[in-house]
Amino acid sequence: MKPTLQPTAAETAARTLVRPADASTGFVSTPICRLPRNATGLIDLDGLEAGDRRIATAIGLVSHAPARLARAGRNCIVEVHNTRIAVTRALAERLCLRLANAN
Amino acid sequence: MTVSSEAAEARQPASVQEPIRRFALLGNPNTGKTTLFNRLCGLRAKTANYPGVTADARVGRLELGGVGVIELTDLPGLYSLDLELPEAEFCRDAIAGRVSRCGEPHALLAIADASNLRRNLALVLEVIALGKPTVIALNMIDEAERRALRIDVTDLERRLGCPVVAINARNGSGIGGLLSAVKTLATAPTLPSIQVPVSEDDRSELVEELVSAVTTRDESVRPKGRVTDWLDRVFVHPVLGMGVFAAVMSALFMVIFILAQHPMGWIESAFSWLGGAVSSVVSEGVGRDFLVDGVIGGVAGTVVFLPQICLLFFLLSILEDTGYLARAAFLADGVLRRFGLPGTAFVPLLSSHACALPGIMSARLIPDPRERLATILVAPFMSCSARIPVYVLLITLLFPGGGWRAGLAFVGCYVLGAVVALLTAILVRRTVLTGGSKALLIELPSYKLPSLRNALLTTWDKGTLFLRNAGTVILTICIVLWALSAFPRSDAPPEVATLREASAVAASEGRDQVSAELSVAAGRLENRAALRYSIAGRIGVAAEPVFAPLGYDWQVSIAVLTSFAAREVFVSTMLVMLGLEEDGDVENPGLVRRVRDAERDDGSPVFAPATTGSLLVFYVLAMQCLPTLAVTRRAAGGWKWALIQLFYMTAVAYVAAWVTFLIASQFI
Repeated sequence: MKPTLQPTAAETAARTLVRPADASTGFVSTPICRLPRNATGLIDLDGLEAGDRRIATAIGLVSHAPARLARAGRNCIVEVHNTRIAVTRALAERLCLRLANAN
Repeated sequence: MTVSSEAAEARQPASVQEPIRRFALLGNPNTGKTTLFNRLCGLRAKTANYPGVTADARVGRLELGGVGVIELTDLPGLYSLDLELPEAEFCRDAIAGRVSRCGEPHALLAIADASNLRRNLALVLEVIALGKPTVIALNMIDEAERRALRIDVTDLERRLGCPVVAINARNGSGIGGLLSAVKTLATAPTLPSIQVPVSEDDRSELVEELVSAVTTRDESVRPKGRVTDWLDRVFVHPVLGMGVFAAVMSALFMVIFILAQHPMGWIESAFSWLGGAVSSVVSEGVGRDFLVDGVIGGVAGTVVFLPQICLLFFLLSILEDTGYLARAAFLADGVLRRFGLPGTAFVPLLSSHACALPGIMSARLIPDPRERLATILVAPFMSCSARIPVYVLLITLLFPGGGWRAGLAFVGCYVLGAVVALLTAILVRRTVLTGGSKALLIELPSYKLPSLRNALLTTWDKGTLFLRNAGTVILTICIVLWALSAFPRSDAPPEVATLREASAVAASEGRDQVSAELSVAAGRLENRAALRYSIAGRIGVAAEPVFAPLGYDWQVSIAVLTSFAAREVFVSTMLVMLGLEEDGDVENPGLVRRVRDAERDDGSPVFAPATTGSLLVFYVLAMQCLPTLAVTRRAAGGWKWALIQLFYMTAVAYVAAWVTFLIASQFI
C-alpha cells in the first residue's frame, strides 16, 4: 500500500498555484510535481520569479512550448523538444503545465 | 542593458580590415564544445588561470596554412549571455576583452547542437548580435538525423548571413569544412548579415521562424528516446537510482583509492632513489640537505598527488560524457539540499575521501558561487587517504588486539569527518554564505558512449594545471618547512660520538650486525636532537602549553606542528622523536609496542589512552595539509577563504580533541 504523506507547507502553497480553467481556452495550469508521468501540456512559467523564469527559458523551458513529464514526483524530469530537463522540488512546485481541462 | 543592445549600439561596418588571429568558442553545455576544441587544438591547449575568477577557459593554438597561428579560447558552456550567472558574466567579460591576460577575440566560433536547434539558435542569435565575424559549427548532425530531423544547412547559412558548417566533432567529419570557413573568415573578415532583433520576444519569434524554415521531420523514421526513458526510469528512480548511484560512486572511489596507490608508490620510490643518488654524489652538509630534503622532498610531495588527480578527472570525464553525471547530481540534490549544498557537491565530497585536492578542484562543477565555496570549505573534513597511516597508528595504540572495536573506530573516523562536514555546511550557509539555494534546473544530456580521447586530454589538462598552480606553491611551502625543521644546525650530543665509536669498534671486531645497530641508534639520537634544536622543534617545545589541555607533551606537540604541512608526517616525526625507525611500518606489532611504551620526561606514557583518543579526533578534523590550503586559495580566488578554512578546521579540531581528552580522562 502506498504510504500517505502529509503535505508540506510548500506543497500546500503549490496547490494554490493550480489556476482555474481559462474560460476562453479551456486550459488549467497545474504544478508539474502534481502531475502523473507522461502528462503533456504547454509550459507555464507564470509562477516563477523573474530570475528563475529567465534561466528556465534559456535552458529550453519556453512559455507555451509543448512538454511531456518524463518523470513524475517531487523532483521531476520534463521533456521539451527532445531535451530532458531535471527540475528539483523547489521549482517543480511553481513550474506548471497548461493542460486541456477535462471538464 | 542587455548584451544584444550593447552590441547593437557598437555594431561595426560589414567588413573588418584587421587580420583575425583570435577566436572565442561559445556554445550551450552538452553541445560537444570541448570535443570540438580538443579536436582542433589537441595538446596545444592549456587551461588559463585568470585571477579573481573561478570559471576556467582553455586557450589553444590552431595552425592554418596560409593564415598562420590562430588562438582559440574555449569559453565555459552557457545557455544565454544575458543571464546573471558566473559563466555568462565571464563570457561577456572575455568577449569584451575585460579579462586580464585573455585578449579580446576578433571573431567568434559558435557551436550549436543540431538535434536541439531551437534552444541553440537562441544563443547563436545572441552571439551574432555581438557584432563580430562569426562562424557556426552545427554539431551532432548525425544525432539530429537519428531523431528524424533534416536540417537545410545551406538555407540556414543564407538566412543567418554567416558561414554554417555541419560537423561531427566526435569522429571529425566536417572539420575540414569548418577549418576552411575559419580560414576564409580570418583572411577576409565579414560580419553576419542578419539583423538580430533587440527585444527578447522578437528574437524568440525569429528562432521559431528559422527552425520552421530549415528543419523538416522525416515522418517515416521513428524517433528514438525509449532507451533514454527506460534508463532514466532506473538511474533517477528514488530507490533504484540511489542504488546505482551508490554503486557507481563506490566504484569511482575504490578505483581512485586502490589504483592510485601503485603509481603513488612508484613516484615515492623514484624520488627516494633520486634522493639517494643525489646524497651519494653531493657531499654532506646544508647544500645536500636542501637538495634532498627540501627540493626533492618538496617536488615529491607535489607530484605524489598526481595519480589521484589524474584518475579522478579521467573518470569524471568518462562519466560526464556518458550523460550519467547530470543524473547523479539530480539524484544527490534531494539529500544534500537539506545541508545547504547542491546535488553537484557530491563529486567533490566523495573525491575528497581519496584526496581533498582533486575534490576541491572538481568543485568547479557547482554553478552557484556560494554553494561552491561552501563545498570547498567543508571538503577537507572528509577523511582522505593521507590520514590512514595516522588512523592506523593511533587506533592500533588504542585497541592493540585489533578486532571489531578497532574496525568500529576506523569507520567512526570517516563518519565523524562526514558529519562535521555536513554540520559545517549548514553553519556556513546560515551565517557567512547566506542566500537561498538555487533550484536545480539541469539539462540531462542523451546517453552516449564516452570519448577516450576527450578523457585523456582533460586528464592531461587538469594534471598540468595542478602542477603549474598548486605545485609551485606547495614546493615553496615544503622548502620553507624543511628550513624550519633543519635550522639552526646543532652539534650532535656526546652520546652520538660514543655510539659511533662503539659502532666502529664492533665493525673492526667483525660484529657487523652490532655495528649497524649502534650506527642506526646514533643516527636516531642525532636526528632527535637536531629536530628538537631546530626552529620547528623550539616552536613545538614553546607550544607545549597550548597543546597540554589536549594531553600532548612537547614531543607530540612537535609532531603535530611538523605535520602541519602533511598529516602523514606525524607518524615519521613521532618515530624520530621516540628514537624509532623513521620509516617504520605502523602495523608492525613490535614497533607499536615500543611506541606505546614510550615515556615522557616525568615517566608517564606519551600515548595514554585519553591522549591517543584526543589525537585521533584532532587528526580527523584538523586540516594539517598545506597542499589543500594552496588548492583552496586557487579555487576560492584568494587567501581569505583558505585561511578561514585553516583556522576554522584547526579550532574545531582543537575543541573536539580537548572535549575528547576531558571525557576520556574520566573514564579510561
